Amino acid sequence: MIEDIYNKVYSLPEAILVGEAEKKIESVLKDRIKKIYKAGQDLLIEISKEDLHQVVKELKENPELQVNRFQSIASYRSKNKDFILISLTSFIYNFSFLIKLQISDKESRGGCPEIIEMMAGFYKAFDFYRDRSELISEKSDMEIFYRDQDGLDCFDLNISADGDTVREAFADIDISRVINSGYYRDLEIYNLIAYISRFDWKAGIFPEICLCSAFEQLLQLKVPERAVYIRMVLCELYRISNHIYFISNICTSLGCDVAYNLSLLERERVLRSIEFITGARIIPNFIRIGGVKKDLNEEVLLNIKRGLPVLYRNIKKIESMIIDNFLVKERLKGIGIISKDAALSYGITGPNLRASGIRYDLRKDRDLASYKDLLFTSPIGRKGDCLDRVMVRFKEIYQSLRIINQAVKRFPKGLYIKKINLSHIEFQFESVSYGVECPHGLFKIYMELEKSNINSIIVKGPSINSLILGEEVLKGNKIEDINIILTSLDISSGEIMTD
Amino acid sequence: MLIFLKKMLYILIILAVNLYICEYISNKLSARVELRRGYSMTRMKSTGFPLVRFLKYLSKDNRLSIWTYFTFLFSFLIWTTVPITSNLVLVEMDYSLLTAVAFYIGLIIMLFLDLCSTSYNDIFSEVSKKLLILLSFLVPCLLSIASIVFINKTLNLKEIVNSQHQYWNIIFQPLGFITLFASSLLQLKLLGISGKNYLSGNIKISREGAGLAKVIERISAYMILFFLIMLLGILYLGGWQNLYFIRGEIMIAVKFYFIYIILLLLDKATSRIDNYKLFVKINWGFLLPLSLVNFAVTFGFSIVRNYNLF
Repeated sequence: MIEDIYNKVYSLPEAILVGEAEKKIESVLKDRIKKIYKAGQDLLIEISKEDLHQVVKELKENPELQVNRFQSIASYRSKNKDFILISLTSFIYNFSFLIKLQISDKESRGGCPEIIEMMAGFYKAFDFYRDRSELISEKSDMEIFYRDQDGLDCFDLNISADGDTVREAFADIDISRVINSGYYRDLEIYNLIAYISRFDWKAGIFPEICLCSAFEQLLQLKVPERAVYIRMVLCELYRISNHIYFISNICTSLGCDVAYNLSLLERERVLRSIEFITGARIIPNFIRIGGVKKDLNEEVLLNIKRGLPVLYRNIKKIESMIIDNFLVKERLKGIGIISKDAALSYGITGPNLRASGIRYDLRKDRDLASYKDLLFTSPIGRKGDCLDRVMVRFKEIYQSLRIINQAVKRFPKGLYIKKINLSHIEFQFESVSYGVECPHGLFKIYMELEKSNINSIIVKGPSINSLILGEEVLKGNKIEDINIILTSLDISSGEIMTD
Repeated sequence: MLIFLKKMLYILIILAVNLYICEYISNKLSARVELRRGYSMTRMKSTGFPLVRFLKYLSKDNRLSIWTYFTFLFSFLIWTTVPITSNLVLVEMDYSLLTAVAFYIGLIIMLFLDLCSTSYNDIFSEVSKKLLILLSFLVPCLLSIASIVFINKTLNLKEIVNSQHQYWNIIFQPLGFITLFASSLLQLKLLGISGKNYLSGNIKISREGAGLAKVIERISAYMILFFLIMLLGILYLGGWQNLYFIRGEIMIAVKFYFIYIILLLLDKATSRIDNYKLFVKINWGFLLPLSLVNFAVTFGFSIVRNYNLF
């Protein structure tokens, strides 16, 4: 039993790697680190602002650590103090760090230019977080607003062009701001589950799973096998739905009317099955800490199973309509190429990363849920251009169908939820970080809890990294290709919205 | 004079009726392809949809370029020389094909000037691109027409139709037909009959809800398309030749709508071509070589036949 829990909650190889990294960092940077501990999936290092340069330099340049990837940066307020949280990843050793440093109130309001300037020396992606308003007004020749295209409506694109070639591109996400902080403080955890879905409305189950899994990890709670399988089936259904939606967006950009309409029909079919399971289509509010809200009966499983071949056939038809079309292929080929190095350094994840030829899938690499029991592959692309990104998504749909098929066949019996009473639980000051492989990439939640309250919660989706890289990728491409390149990055507007 | 006016009236009525039916078919097909039932206007019963759209456009105010007017007028001038049936032609002349093609080239130039006058961003690059696109359409078109002239040894459209009493020209000139058909399809995409306009795509944003200009542009676009379809019908598919007991007038109408619907369906099935590189690739990589090969073969064949080399 204990062994089982250990294997499920902390996968063995990763735990060893993180443990080793912890020892190495302690030995290398012992004077500069205030505190180092494991917060969920990540290693959290608390340091002072003065030591940041040395610490990051050591993390990046030490051959045994090679923390060469920037993931995210966020500022938050906890216990009346302001903090900055920088997430960095070592791709080679497959573990991630969270660097937490305290900043003053004044710095927090000013946007911490010093820290961003310092970090920009190590990671190019930090340029995005600089105050660029003057630079944009000076360099920009034109401004593009995509108001009709989903995902591209959450930012303005300023372009400096040389003829019809993009010289530099600047995305301005200031137009899409929402107030997050303060909203969740008064919420109970169960209400928070319903609220969190809006961060990724294209695949609403993933934020819920991420949040609940974080709590489960904190409580060392083993989820019943049946609940895990229900979650997996839902995840894959939402993944298919999201990818089909992506394809419909690409079809809109290309002007393939027939494929666009057919793909939306198929999405409808998937959403209906999701509705059949959860009772909702976009915001499921279905995952609970310790399991799921409702059990699946045989009839639902049979319906899903029957729908799979139809879905496969129809999506194959759409694929042949898009990929076998000479015009579409020529249009997508060779534009918006993301090299392996760029993909790694800018921290993009998910299908965009895999399209560049890097096999990195959290479902396999971190042993999430019970994916290791099922047979599937993570498809990868070769060149990393728009065509590869579309192809990878098509292949992922087939893999998801394969996963669902296997999961439905070997659906375990037993409990669908392990009921716990959260009102009696009181945490000491705990911080936890958890990530899941959502259809766009790595979706991460970082929480700080004290007693029964959530002090702070940071949600970081993968789309922001895709957008930062998008600025880089657009350079040298034609203005008429901008729409397709940005659409192919599958940017979700919910993830871009910041505090 | 009265006969002339009568003929003019007949031609205008035929064009207006065709315009109405084609607009209706286009909307109907769009609605069906997009898998929507649409609002009641686009349904089968509501044949009044084109009229409603026309009135809707007229209700809006809009600035108009002088070249748009010229394009509109020129598009009607084509029909003075192109015979719709064996008797229904306004001006009888020996070089009717040549005149029609000259009008067509003039129309393309007008369209080009219209586009130039309204390009506001980086004029040189945009204009040079558009010129190249239009030229690349014109050259294969002209080459395939020249091949037909070599085969039939005449520049009169009526004589070309009469020479097809035994076999249609499509049997002798399949490559020429493919070239002209593909060229027509790409022009249909460019002209934006089915709502996807590339050439004046940028302009549409600035003059949202275009009024009279939209009507005029659309009618001009239809006239160019009608001309190309008629050209396909007359040059390759036997024109108004009787088929057994079916009259020629009915046959030309059947051919006209058959080509039109096939063109519309192909337009819907293929993606939008809004990329300059792709245009060049299709035209200079596929259409032009094909038409050149066709022209060279026809030219060689006619020389061999005329001088009895074998």
